Amino acid sequence: MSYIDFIVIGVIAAVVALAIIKMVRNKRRGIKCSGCEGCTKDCTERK
Amino acid sequence: MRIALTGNPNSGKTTLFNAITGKIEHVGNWAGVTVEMKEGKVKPSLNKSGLQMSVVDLPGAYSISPYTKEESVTRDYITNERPDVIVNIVDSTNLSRSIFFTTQLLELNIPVVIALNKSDLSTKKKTMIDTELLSRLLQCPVVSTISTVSSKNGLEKLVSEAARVSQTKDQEPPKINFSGTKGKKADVRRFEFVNEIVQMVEKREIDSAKQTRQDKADRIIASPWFGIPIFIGVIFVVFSISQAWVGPWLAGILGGWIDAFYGWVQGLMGSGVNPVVSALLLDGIIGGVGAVIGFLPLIMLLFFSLALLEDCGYMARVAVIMDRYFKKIGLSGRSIIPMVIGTGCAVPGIMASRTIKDERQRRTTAMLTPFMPCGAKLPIIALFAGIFFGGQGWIGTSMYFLGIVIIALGGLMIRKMNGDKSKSHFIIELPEYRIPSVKRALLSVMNRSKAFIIKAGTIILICNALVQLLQSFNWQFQVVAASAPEASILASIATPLAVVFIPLGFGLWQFAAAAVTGFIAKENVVGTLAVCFAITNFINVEELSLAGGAAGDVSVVFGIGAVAALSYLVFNLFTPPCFAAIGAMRSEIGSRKWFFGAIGFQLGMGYTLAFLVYQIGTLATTGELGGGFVGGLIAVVCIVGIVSYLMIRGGRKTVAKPAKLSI
Repeated sequence: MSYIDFIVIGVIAAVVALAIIKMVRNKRRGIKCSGCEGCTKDCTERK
Repeated sequence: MRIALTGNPNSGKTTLFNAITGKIEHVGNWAGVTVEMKEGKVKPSLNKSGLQMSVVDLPGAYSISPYTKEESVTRDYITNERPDVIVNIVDSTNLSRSIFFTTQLLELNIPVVIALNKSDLSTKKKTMIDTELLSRLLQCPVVSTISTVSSKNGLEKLVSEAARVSQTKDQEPPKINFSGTKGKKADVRRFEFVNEIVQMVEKREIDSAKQTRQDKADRIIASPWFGIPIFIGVIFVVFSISQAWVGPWLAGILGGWIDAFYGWVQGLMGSGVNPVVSALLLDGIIGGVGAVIGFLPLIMLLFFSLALLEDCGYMARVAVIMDRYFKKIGLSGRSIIPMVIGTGCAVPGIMASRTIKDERQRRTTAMLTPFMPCGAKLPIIALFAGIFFGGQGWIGTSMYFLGIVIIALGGLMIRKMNGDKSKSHFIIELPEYRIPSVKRALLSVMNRSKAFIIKAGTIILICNALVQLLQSFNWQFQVVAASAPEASILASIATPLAVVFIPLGFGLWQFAAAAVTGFIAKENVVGTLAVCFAITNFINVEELSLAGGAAGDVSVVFGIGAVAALSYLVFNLFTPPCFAAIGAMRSEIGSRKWFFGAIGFQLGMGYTLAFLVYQIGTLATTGELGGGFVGGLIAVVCIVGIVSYLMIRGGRKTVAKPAKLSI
């Protein structure tokens, strides 16, 4: 493993961590499916 | 200070709410758009009182006595939470119907301000309303408003009147003579009182009994003969714009940018990076997510077109057109509204089924709504239509209408299983046709696109990274050679599942893996296929054809032909939806028996349809039956047998009822 490998792994880990953080935050707001707020009262598409 | 916005359905509450708060809540040109309350703060530019003002947008209601679930939300909020002021939005084009609810609100001892909304439309119809007299008769302030325009809309006056009445609290309800009456008779008295008021304050130059141009248009658009062909034509044009005429061109541009980004990252890493790490970033994350994002322009165009159709008032006519057929299968036109909403996302579509009062209809609608192709399924349709069918608009159109046919068929089966022969009645207030607002449609598209991108950057990204890792290693955690991916963990998990799909024409582990990840989120089908076949750009079909060799045949790349591709498309569209939608189904259905029945029904429906498509299609194109016919036939006969047994049992239940009564 070269240092560039560690940099790329670091980038992947950061991207995945950000995705997980976003999903966890959404989960706390009651959002079941990331991106769509359809199941919460915050939904802008709720009809 | 809390202001509650109340009024009849489609009186413009959410439009007024957006105008007062600056929010961008979804509005629609038909009744029943809002099913839950929303809260926001009054814009400082409108609030000159210095008071802290929050506004609550409530679902529409015709009366304080709730008829549907969402009307209960309004009643419960007003009676339990007791806001400081009620702003009652009255549709000035339909005064007599709106004021019935107003008189009930005035009796709650909460200050009321009337917003006489859509006053531009009533002027256009040459209907004059004496607001001062109306204010005197109802003993509350009346303000003319036009919430669709940004200036001279009466909103500042409305907010200041709300602030004023909240301080004074000296309102007295109008005196209605209810002596000796209660229940329905009291309602009749109230109607008489309302009609008297309307006669005094309203002057119409155009007789409402006279047929207008809109009525004439409806005689054609919503007619039993022309309604369906026009609907098919409209949806064909919508899908053609999205998936054949404009969408692929825009998607090609976006695909080029994604390819350029892929190349830039590849160049940045150089050739010295570990191939597994490199593939994880390039093929798993950028390739997988890029393949899904690549379809964004197609989805945006489709949502934009549907938003325009909804805003101009056409979709409300679709509910009327479909009601004729839906009532024959135990559903009603009310069921079509969640299904239309479900074309955006199945979750709010399923939740919209709560507007249906009848429990069986509501459960059936929640169960069948996921059969409509939602936004997440559109990339799958676009992928297979583009690759195997030259991007023809009829693929999307036929999937849309196949969804409706399956819903009708499913509704009929469920009705028979329940032994229910009750008839349904559907009344919808048809909104006026109007020129659709491009701004509103763009806002709706931006919201949905944002949701799509966030989803691609979170759950889709993680799934694709996981799929890439599972495809890169075997069970001994050794790196699998690129030429032998069937030795990978992913292949070993998906291969046994793929056996089940042989009778459906796609018994390959890659398709089985994609179908399974599709249950997490339907976009994953595209992402997983992109990772498994190492393809970043599904839009550029020419590139795929080149990969297929001299024959330029994409089936060489994917290992399946057009018939199997159609079968795979049908399977993914008509099997259970994603987990989020399944969760919504569970909460709306509210019965364990119905819920598991719904999942089983959807699985059986998807499998049977895909089997029929593949075997009949193969027979028609090659003259022979497809592989695994006998095994598939046994499975389908079992599914049909179970459904038939339940239907017969349901039929017996119906017969047994009168016998019990006669004893």
